[in-house]
Amino acid sequence: MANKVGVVGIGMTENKSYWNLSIPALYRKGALSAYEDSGLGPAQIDAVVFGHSPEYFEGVNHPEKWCSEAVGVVNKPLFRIHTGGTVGGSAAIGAYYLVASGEFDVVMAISGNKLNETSSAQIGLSTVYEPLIARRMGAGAPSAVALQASAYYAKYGYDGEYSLKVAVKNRNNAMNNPYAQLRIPDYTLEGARETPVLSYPLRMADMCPTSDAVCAMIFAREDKVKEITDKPAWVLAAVSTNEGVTYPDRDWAKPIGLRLAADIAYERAGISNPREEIDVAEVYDAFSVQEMIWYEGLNFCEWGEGGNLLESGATYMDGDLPVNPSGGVLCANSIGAAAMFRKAEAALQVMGRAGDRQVPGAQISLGHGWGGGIQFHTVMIFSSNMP
Amino acid sequence: MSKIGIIGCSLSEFQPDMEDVATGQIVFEVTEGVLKNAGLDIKDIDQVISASCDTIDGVSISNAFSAENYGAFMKEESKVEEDGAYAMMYAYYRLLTGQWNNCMVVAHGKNSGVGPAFYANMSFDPLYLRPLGLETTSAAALQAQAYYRKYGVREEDTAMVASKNREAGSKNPRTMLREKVSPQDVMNSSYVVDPLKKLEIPPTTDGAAAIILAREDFARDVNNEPVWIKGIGFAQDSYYPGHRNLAFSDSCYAAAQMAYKKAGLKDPIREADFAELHEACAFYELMLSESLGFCPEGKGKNMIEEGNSKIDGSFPINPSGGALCANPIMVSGLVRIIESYLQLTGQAGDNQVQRNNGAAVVHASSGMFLQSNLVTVLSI
Repeated sequence: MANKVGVVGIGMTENKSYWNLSIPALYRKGALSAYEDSGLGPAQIDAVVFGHSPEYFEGVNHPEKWCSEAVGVVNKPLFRIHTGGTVGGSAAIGAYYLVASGEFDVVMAISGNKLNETSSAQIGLSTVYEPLIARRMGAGAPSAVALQASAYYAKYGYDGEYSLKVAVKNRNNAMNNPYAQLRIPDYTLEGARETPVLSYPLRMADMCPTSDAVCAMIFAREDKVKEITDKPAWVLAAVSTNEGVTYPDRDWAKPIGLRLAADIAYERAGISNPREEIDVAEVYDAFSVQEMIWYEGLNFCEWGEGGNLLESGATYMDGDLPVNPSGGVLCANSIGAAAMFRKAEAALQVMGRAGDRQVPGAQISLGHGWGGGIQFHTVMIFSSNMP
Repeated sequence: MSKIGIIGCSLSEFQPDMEDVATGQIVFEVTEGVLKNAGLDIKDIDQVISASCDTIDGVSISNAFSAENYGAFMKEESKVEEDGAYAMMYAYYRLLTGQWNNCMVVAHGKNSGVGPAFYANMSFDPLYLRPLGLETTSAAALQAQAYYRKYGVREEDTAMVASKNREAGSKNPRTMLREKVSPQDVMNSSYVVDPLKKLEIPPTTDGAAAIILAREDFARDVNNEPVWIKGIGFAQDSYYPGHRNLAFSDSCYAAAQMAYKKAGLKDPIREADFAELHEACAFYELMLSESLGFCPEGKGKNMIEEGNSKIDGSFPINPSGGALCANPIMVSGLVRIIESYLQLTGQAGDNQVQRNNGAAVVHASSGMFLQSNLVTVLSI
């Protein structure tokens, strides 16, 4: 069976604009951060799984090729996975499987983007849609998710107030995260209500910022883990799934692809009651409303109960299942790194190293990501105890 | 540890410009094809790993709309943005964990859309190299110059490689360019970028390919002659051409050593029957032969001069005709895997080679100047 694998190091850059750093320079910053955190150097890395989101953001094809020297791993195994917004998660999952296969001892996953190099990330995102019909609408991500929000509100009777509450919760959490981009003191529901509607029914407060960032995670096999750290985050499950984009009866308010990923992950992790057993989760809330939809997809509550779960207070920092203690994607979105930040934040929680955003006593955590036409999902589950 | 084997394959038609066929259609056809070839239903497939490229497709997240076409609806799934052989590599490591029985691997590349030159130019960094206008052929020509000068390779040598591969391709109904050319024809064709001539560079090609990998017990249940992956190695060199020796591929050497070690292969040309290489220009076949240990450094030209690498030679290289006959970027390496699978199972047809050891060395590449290489040892 699969070898036991632990996360032994995490690298993060702040999420912000880096006008003074090229793409390789930002990757170097992320890699050095992971090396420093783990106490390892590039010589100890057996392979690298590279992420990075669509080429049309920065206009560089095969960005991983540009970055060999930057991450310090030359003439060793390195390849790139690219699945859109989930890419950071997909790369982390790739690194996990390389180690779990038994063929590699230590593998680094690294993923990022410099979204500020594009005039608008939405130009890049509009090219996700096929060129014959859908692309001409220039929908980008906000308008697609606005449709998802409308579907969700209409189906279950929720409204924009719920979404704004997610935004306020996560923005307040971000005050504890030095890597977040949006750290706005005294962020209130009243203030969020006054932000303009950007794509009905979503307001500016419901949307993520544009960030540059790189995140890295170093995975090691059981025997190596013990040599490197006393406090690893053990990987219990690593799953990426696909739903579909174009099938006619797709229900945007019911992410069955995510439920599939969650079911597989819980089975592999031996979790029968996620709501009870998971101590903290980081979900890909690029738009506030999605956090509630992902609660449902992740089986934290029944279908349609996401808004009520939020209202119950359970997912706040002082609740029994805090979601996005880091502030989530709503406070930092480089796209390329965002899904890996979710996994890295979740890992930090069970390592007990999440700083001011630490959930006390967290033993089991979950990190999620979505990408593409909202049909790809990644889920990883971490534990402070060896499986 | 369970062995991982190939239990089915499918190739699309290869054409210079499939203008009237949507990408999803080509992907769907090879997906249907590989299921039929393996005798499986899509419900039997545990997961799908694909390979494609945003820049080539002109679509951000190139698998977003093709995932349904490759049957990944409500399945575990991921995508590698490298040649399809790298997707096979990722699938191989996933299967080694024992978590699944099988994995479908699908690669597509409709190269005619933006064209290989744009794809390549976009691969160069926007600060130093891209403004020079470098693209596939001009980059390869620089590398050829470095290689020719260091080892005294003559243009006549690479013309013989091109002629050899085109002759092999003339016997292969699955490839695209099927007219023989003589070494003299190659020499007489016009320079594209000195020293590379028209008949020794690969054609622009559209196409797709798919295979199914499975763990040993599942593989033996559905296929009485699976081809096993005995070893895989891959490596990426430094980026800037000035930072490395362009006349020898260190990353291909590292990849080969890793694959041979895993496979227990000590002398590839004695222990394997043939090789399929991603020679995206005739001279690369000679260079790669050196990095792969088929001959000493600088002696690649002897392989062709002595005729050993011909389809009826002692160690055939590219009996399929290689990338010089069809080179769908993102798919070409996986095509080498499939052609090797067909050879090892005796299904290659008119271009079948002798099977003595039942093993092959297969090479794939990604990036400019042979920056990244992947080597697989296959065996029956």
